[in-house]
Amino acid sequence: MSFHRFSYWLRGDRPELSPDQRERHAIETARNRIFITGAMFAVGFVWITAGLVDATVLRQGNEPEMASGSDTRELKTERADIVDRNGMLIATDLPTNSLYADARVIKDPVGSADQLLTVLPELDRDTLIRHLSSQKAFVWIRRNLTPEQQYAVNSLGVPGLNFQREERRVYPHGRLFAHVLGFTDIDNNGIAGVERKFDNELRINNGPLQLSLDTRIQYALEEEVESAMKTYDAVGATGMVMDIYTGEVLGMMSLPDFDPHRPGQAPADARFNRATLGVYEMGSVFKLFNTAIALETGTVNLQSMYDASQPIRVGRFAISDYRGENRWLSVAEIIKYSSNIGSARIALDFGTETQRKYLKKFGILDTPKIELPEVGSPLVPNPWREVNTMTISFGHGLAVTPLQVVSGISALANGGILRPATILKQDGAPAGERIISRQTSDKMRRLMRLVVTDGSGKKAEVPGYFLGGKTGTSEKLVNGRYVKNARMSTFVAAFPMQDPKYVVLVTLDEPKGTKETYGFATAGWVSAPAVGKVVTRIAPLLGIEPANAKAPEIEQALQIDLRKGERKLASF
Amino acid sequence: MTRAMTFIGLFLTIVIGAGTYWVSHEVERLEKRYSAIQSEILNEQESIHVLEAEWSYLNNPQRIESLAKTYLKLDQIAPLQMASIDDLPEDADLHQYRLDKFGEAVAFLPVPRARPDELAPDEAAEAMIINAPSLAATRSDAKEGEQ
Repeated sequence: MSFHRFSYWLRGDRPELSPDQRERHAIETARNRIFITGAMFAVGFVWITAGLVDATVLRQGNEPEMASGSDTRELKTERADIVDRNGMLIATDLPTNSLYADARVIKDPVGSADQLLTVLPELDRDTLIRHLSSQKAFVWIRRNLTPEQQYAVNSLGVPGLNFQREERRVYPHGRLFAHVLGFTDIDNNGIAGVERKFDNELRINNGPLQLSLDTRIQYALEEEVESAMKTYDAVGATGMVMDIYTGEVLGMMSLPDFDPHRPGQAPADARFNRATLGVYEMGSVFKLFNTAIALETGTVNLQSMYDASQPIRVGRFAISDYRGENRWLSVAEIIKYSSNIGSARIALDFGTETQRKYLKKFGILDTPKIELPEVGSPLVPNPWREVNTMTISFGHGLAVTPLQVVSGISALANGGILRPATILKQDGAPAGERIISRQTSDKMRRLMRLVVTDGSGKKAEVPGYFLGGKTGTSEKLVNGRYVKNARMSTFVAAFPMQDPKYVVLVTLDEPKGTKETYGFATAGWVSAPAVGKVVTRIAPLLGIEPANAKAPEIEQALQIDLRKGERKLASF
Repeated sequence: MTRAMTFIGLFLTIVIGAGTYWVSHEVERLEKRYSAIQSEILNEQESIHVLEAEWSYLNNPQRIESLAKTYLKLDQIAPLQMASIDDLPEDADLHQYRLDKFGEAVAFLPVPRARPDELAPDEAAEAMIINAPSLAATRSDAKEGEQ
């Protein structure tokens, strides 16, 4: 078909027909086309109608009852809250207003400064005038005003003074958690304690951070330790409470403390966390570790006898006993009388390598792991000679953090499983590492109880709660010399000893004896009563029921034979 | 007929127009109210937040202790003040009788429960002795460094 003919076909025209026929044909074509177009429109309208019927009648036609808004805003503070194990708020952000000046707008810097000084008298006049005449668009005048101050500044009506809404870290309990929580700087950056360790997490703010600490326990600990520190005129003190089955720290404090709202005003000594950062020779507390090693390696049993009648001379050193018995002692008696000579002889029996291996296992030789930036590393002797082995057996020559002692003693008492210390609330007991057998742990419980019933820890006894522990008094090392009257007096105790659940430690730094203690400042006189008082207060909070000492199952769990006829010659 | 249709069409147009206008106005009004409520909620949340901080502050154990000392006649619970329900005498015990020294039946009297701090007399005496150390015992200290 040629193009010419196609164009005629398209128009519905047929030039080969007569004019009459052409006209009729054209009308016919037009009708057909109108009909087809109409039919197409009809289909379209039917389609739309069907759609309408479907949307309004057949489907659920009405609007949803509840609008689902996606723009629901939640209050989100700059830093997340920190709560204690019971959900009590212990650190939060509160909105405040800070005063700044747009110095370009300020007409009369001196006059404005004088006006401001009537409201904020603590500002420095010269600095203020310099700032106000600096022609900068933004100069801070004063951060975190109180609402009254803000109102007063507003009433001055000085143009160019504006407020910036800010958030400020607030600790509702003030000093109570100072060392654990740490503090933030003026721009709300965490720079110590939990605030620093969890700085990123707190900024992301996915709900509050829950610690394992308990406000009530922390307060009881703080109050009793503080009163002991005052009574015995100590320069510092630290206290800790730990759940021995989870490694959770329920209370941790260090004195002197500081106000976390004004950390800059406190001396560096007050900001020092003695519980985790300070390393100290813990004294006789180590005899428990020493005895545990000996019992675990099988070099002794509880009735093995050692000669503690003569001081041991090693080169220029002499190891003697504080108020010694000067006779042969059984292992149980060595703990009871806290004999240095006996402990040294026990240590010599298992040897330096075993001591080092086990202390490493107990976590004594490594930097402790806890979620705080302020953690001290133990001072380990190098080289580790035989004389070190002997002195370490009674806690001299190896300085450790109180935290490590608490963790270690927890493991000795809980059946022999060492768990990392934590300040975050745990669900159940985390995985631990077995360091001593269950049998050894059972013997250690009896020995610890013996110290409180018959030994140096009698002052800690609280009827019904069955404390067991060990005293430790060490002379402080100042410039490489031991100073006689500067002591660290430590008492660490677990309770209730027939089924230990918690460990409490109290250390006093340089306590002085009083008339009531007959001038003694040793741990049994100053720290042990403090631990007893802490336990009296916290045991009901922890849900521990006082038991009767005459109950047969308790007597059976805690009885111990001091000595038997057998004697063992010390291999010295 | 056409006239009537025209009027009906005109009427419907006006009604639908007015309706649409009313709906859009209403939506605008509700949206304004919604955002007002939103910011109100935010304000309330902030107030709650501040109140929570205050609640924690008011719950400070030190404050509660001093309040308790002022207004309550309560003291620290001593261990022997705590007892369990098992320590109570049972109902059956009340109907028992015992013979007194004259051989007469008297009503059963429940004995006080054993106290946690109960020690036998000799044990108690021993426990008291240790509190006073002899002054002669300060002979030597733990360590004698001559470095």
